[in-house]
Amino acid sequence: MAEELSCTGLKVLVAEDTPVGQKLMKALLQAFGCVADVVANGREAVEKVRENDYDVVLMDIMMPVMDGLHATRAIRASGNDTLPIIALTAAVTKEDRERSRAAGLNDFLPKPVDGRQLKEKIAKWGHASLGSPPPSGTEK
Amino acid sequence: MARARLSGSARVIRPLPVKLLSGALLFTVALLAALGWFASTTHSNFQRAYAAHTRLKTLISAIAYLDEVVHMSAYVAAATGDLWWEHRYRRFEPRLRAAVQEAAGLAPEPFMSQAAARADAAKVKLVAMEDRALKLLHQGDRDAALTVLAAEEYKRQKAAYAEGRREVGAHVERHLRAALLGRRRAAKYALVSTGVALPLLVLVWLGVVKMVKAYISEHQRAEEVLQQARDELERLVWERTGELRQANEALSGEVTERREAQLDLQKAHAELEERVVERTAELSGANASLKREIVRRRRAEEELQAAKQVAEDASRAKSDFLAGMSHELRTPLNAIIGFSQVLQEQYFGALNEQQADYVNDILESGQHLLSLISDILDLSKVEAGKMTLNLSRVNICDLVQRSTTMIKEKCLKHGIGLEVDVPEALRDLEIAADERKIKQVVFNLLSNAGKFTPDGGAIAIDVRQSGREVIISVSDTGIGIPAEEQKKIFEEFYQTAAGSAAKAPGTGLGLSLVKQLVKLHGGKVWVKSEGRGKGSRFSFALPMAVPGAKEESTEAEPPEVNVISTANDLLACLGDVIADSRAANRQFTLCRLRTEPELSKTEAVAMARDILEEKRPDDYLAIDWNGHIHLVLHAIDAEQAKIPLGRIIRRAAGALGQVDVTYTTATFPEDGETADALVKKVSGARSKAGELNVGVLTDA
Repeated sequence: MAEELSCTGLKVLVAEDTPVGQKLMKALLQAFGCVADVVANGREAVEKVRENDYDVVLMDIMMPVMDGLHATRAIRASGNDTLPIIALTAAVTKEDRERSRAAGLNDFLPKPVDGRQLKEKIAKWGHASLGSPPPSGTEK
Repeated sequence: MARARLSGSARVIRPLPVKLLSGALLFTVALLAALGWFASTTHSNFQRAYAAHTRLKTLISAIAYLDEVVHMSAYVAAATGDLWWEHRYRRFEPRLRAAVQEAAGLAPEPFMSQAAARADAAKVKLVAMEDRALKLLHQGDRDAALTVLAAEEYKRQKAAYAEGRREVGAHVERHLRAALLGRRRAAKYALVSTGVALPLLVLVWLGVVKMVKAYISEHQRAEEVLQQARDELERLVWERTGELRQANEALSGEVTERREAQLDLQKAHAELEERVVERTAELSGANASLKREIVRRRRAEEELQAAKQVAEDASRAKSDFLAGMSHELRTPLNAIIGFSQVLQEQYFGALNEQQADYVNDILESGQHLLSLISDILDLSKVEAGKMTLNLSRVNICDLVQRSTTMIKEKCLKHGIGLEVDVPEALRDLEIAADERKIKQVVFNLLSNAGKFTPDGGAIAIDVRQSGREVIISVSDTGIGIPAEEQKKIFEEFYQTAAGSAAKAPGTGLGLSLVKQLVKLHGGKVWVKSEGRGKGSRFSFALPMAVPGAKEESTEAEPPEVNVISTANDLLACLGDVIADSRAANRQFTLCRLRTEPELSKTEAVAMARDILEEKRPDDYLAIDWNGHIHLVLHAIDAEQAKIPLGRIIRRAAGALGQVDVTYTTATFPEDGETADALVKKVSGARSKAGELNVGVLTDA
């Protein structure tokens, strides 16, 4: 599983409103060796980003209180334009993709999530934000 | 013919020479008058001469007698002394003198002669001597008187006198004879001239008579000819009259017929009028019902419009619903698939074999459900018209090769042969298509083939070109499709009887989606199968919007295109069109066609070429290289413009694969009086006219 890319040690924030979704993400991120914080909506995500230094944010789009698009715009508006934010959403239409790109999200992952794809994206963006290429295939 | 003869005879009759005749008459009268005058003069002259002659003869005798008497008387008186004799002398002596004078008057010449003079002188002496004698007698001297008279002198004088008188007499005789001779000669002349003149006259009149006779006979002949002609004419007239009578009879027959026909016509007319009245009534009835129909139609149209609105709303609601449903379905699937993967990957501890198998089933079911949801969503989008093509240049052969990798593993696993057949000539073929969607089509067909082909079977995919189409076919040696099912399999949720029992049942949507996606590209899909167990061959055709051969010339300017560098040229052209429209009191609509995505130059030219076939000679076409096409439709308003635009869009879609073409219109004069206003209207506020790069396609 971890032969190709490593996410180990990356600090990831997950914004996900459903408890089952949160649980799944925690399981996956734990399996990938990431350090995960999970919040239930956009506003919390914005606060968390302000308080902590994350390598990657996995942002659900449709959430109560504040949706992912608004949250991303708020994060970008606060001057943080290097933090990789990946949309992780069940809204998968072309328009949804375009909207998320327009809001400042860096990448897009449709739900249901594919574990392998998720790992690749986290590795790619996490190491990009760290300014180094993702180490490949060396770590167990 | 009769007329020719008539005119011929008319020419024969010469008019009577009236002048000549009157000339002859005048000549005759003059001649006769001259002759008459000549004769009467001659006659009177002759008579007068004759009378004078007779008188002269008488006078000469009288003179002689009176001389004797006078001389005797004087002598007797002297001899006898009887005075009675003297008296007698005195009485006769004047008579003698008168006679001499008369004779001298009648024949002056002889009495003027010397002889006459001598006679006269002798006479005078005689008279004087006699007077003396008589005087002597008176004195009583008779003897003396006798002596005087008996004297020699007297005798001599008497003889002289007698001689003179005789000479005068002879002279007179000669004179008279000469005069008579002259008269006779004159008479002779008269006779001769009459003798000459009369035959001449006779000759002249003979000529005249001959002429008149000729005239008369000619006249008679002409009269005869005329009579003949008249007879002929009469005959002709009679004949003609006969003919005319016949014609007249025929005519009157015809007139009768006509009258009957007219009566019939009147009858027919009356009937017609009746019918017209009936029809008019019917028509007005029909008119009324038509009006009602129109009202009904209009209402129906309004209802239709409302229904359309409702349908559109429903469609929007449907796609909103589908999007929402997709989201709601994906959320639990996320957990199902995600946790299945977590378990399958055994991140948190090993599973036993049975557990691993179950987890695998959960994962596969989840994924099947996911593909079902995706297909439903795609189909819904197509049906709602929301599916748009993301066109690009697609190398069909590459696409086919890459698609096969997706089932290669499965084929290997089941011992199914997989063959790709692409002719060398088509290796570099590129068409304008939505790569992802065509890939989906090929994948759907391949995975169907894999699904229904038994282990050890074979799957083949081939690419062919047919005219302006590329045909991609997927053949298999699978279960085949009975003829009665071949049409139904493209219907949604239809699964063949065999299919539903297959080892890995499909969604029943794959072929529907294939059909829809191919249709979006302007292509078609079909299947051939000999029947159950005989395998099947699915094919789809895609139009080659831009044939490979043309691809080479994309760099060069296509010869048909005249590039005009700025939008000002478009504006200028529009200005001309506006000017023309105003002159002709007509309208036109400027249409701007947009495609999504923007077309390349080559594609724009290809599309414009198609539009050229739609556009009418008066219409004006301009394209800009951003894929916008400007079309000026003459004598058409925005509402009418929808029809040709609809056709153009269908054609364009056919030419370029399924491109999404939209349009905006602005109609002169409703939407503006200037070219600027029209361009602004069709371009939207964002577009600045100056930024357009416009090319014009001509018909050449």
